[in-house]
Amino acid sequence: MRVNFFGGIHPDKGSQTPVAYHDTKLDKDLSRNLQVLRQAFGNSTDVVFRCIPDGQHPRIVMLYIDGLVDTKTLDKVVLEPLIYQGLPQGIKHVKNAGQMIDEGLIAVSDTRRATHISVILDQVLNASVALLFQGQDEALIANLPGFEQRALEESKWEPSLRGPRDGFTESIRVNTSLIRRKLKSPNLVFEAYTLGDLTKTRVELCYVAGVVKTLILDEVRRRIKQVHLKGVLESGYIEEFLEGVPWSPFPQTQSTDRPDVTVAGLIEGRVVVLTDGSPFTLVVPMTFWTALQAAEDYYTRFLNAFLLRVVRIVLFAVSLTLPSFYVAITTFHPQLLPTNLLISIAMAREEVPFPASIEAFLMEFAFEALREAGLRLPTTIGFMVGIIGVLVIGQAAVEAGIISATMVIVVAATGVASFAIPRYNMGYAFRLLRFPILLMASMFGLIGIGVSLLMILIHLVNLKPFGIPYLYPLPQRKLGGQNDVFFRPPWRSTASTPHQHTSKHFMIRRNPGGKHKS
Amino acid sequence: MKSRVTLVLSTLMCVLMLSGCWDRKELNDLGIEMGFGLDILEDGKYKASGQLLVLSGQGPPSQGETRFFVETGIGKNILDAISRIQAKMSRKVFLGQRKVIVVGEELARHGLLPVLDEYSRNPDVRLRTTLAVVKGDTAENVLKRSYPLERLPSTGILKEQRQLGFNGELALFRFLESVNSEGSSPTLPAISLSRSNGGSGFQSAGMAVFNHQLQLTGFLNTDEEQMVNWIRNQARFVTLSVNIPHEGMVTVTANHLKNKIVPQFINNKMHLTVILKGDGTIHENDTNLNVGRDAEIHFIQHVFDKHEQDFALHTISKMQKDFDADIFGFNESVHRKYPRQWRQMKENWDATFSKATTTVQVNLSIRGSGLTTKSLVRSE
Repeated sequence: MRVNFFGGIHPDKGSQTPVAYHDTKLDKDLSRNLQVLRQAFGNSTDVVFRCIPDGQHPRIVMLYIDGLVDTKTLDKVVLEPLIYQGLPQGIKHVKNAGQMIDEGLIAVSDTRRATHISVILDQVLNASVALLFQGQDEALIANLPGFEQRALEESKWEPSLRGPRDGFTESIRVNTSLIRRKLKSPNLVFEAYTLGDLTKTRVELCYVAGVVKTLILDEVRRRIKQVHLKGVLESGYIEEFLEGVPWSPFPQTQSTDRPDVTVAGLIEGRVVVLTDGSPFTLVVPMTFWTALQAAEDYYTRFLNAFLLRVVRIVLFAVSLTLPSFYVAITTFHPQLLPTNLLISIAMAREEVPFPASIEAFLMEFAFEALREAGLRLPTTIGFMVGIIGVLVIGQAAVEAGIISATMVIVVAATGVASFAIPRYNMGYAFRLLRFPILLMASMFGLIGIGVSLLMILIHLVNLKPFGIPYLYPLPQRKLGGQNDVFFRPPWRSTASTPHQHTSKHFMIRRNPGGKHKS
Repeated sequence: MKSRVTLVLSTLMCVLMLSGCWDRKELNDLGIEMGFGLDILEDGKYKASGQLLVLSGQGPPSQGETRFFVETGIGKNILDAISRIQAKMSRKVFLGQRKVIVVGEELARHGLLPVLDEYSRNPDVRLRTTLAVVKGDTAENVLKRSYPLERLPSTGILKEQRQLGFNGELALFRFLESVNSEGSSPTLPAISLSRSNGGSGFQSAGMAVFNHQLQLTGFLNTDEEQMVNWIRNQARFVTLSVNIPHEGMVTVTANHLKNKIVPQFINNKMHLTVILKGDGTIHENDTNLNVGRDAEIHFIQHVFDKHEQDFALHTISKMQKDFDADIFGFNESVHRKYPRQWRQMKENWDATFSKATTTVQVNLSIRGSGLTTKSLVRSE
């Protein structure tokens, strides 16, 4: 549940008030322990209490949650030996749980002892099996996760033709292993946090010691500690806490579900935040030009990458400003157009009942609607949206003279251009900014566009997420240096520093006075 | 911090919203004027004609067809006449795309001074416009002509100039430039209605020469126009056909044209040396000369140089004797070389110019002979 539906004012009368078990210790009496634990779980149906009567004494109870635990292994390594063979031979009187571990009586690698009810609850909820013994105030915890997982799939968020095909999954352990497999260095460090009062989501901070700048690392740590939420279901929950300027339309963390992109960020000295239950990692800090860098740029030859970058930069500009320029030029400065183009546009516009600006807003809105509808619907129905969009907006509206054909072309070109931005979250920023620019353009023409672009530029120049200038590494102090902005330098020339952001190149400037506190 | 943002934003909005400069105009509300014509009537009133695009109409226009219509207005001065056009129009006349302005011969003889003021004052008027004089007819008739090759008839005037090697787009600009250059007499390209092809279209008809009061004084033919543009270095290419004695005709197209004008005071008399250069390619050879041979190329070159020298001298002396008008821009060269003497000279430069002696030197170098060397037919 993302929001408390009842706002916490009218709690359901039937619900039991949760009891805190911070300090409750295990009792020697097994039945009392069971009573406490049953109550703690609220008699939930997926909690399994499996009793193993072993003669008269000692009685053992296995506690786990059905579906979280690998029951096959559990049967094999715990249940079967206990039932069929009884207690291991050689030890006649197993007195306590600790003894069982000491003697290696359970063939599970991750085992530990617990004396507190709260610890048992935590561990059982995290896919462990708890073994409780009659007459013992200590329980044995064995971690046996065995829940259903999605297999590794190709990244859907940032697909590429050339490059590794694996993508992150929802399981954080799988994700950390994917990173570790690509970065075999003891300097790769993971730091665990548990966030979310109810979800207890495991969040891992990941960095390469010695490469990462400690100022950034400390800042990320500080901001993660500020996350106080009931639930953390996706890395997006944390993303907003990591942002220094929450009101900026520009993304300040780079989210990716590609291990190779994540590892590239680590090598560059960035900090990565992994969230359990989400295939998206957050790479911080993000800079503006990251949005231009597709993973493939680094896998294809640098000349090809250069061509793609140039195309992308053009499409960048197109996706932000094309409708605005169209409206501004046709309604304010028609003398700028070549005569024949003006005639074509004017002829197409002749029957249109709306001013060009209204037309542009309508079409942009229709395009966003189509995009959103197509995205939310199941794929089987999703393509229907496309057909309806093509028929209704692309053809019928033009033939009926409601929308001019040129406007359809402009909006379609803008849409195509916006899909060409490799980082989807930057695409959001551009989609958002397109509307105010369009508004300014329809009121003030080219001057309006100029003013809005200038304001965006001022904002970008001032934006310093984690103390790194957002437009880094531009402006460059030294001319002719390789900055991986417009031109991805050939690997040969960057043999020692694989990417641009090694820590010594980072210019750290904290926000003076902590102006923008998250 | 917050109040400052509010202050800045509200000030900005006030500045933007209250300035009142709302020049937003939908394309549907514009009448796009492509060509404009001016005539003078017998009673001294001006008649303005605008060639406007018809964008709407019954059904979608067929492929490549653009409809246009000509609206006229009669008024006491130019702007009055233009406003009479506006009075007949449901849409605002938009001048930003105007390509061509034509002036009837009557008005040109009467003087263009009142016409020019509007062009140099109105910010909507673009300087890159063709300004042309209609030889022997009115501007209105030119604008009413349809032209089979162009969707917009008036662009045909501009493009015809281009095909002849002149930069028609610069006609208005050069005219204004020349008006403001002391001693120089302005010229304009002349067009006339074409009688071929069932009386559609128009053709280039040489050059119209004006005096300092901007009154039309006469016309030059197209060959002379070409030579004038060469001397002024305003031609991109020239096509020359010369009769080689005892042999036949040879046609050469020359480009990379260069000019050099050297004024000299000799015994208190002005002497002008004009050097013309160009690279030529033989386009037609009706003689027996083998242009693959150096000697014969040199011979042709020599004949061409001599012929063009004579023709240039003829053109210059025609301007000296018949028009008393320096249309070649010699005044600028003199001004540059003798800045001090120019102050006294500029008052009666026309007289000095018409008394000046001239030598012309043409250096045409023929670089190409086309695909063949000898003439195919007459080879013996």
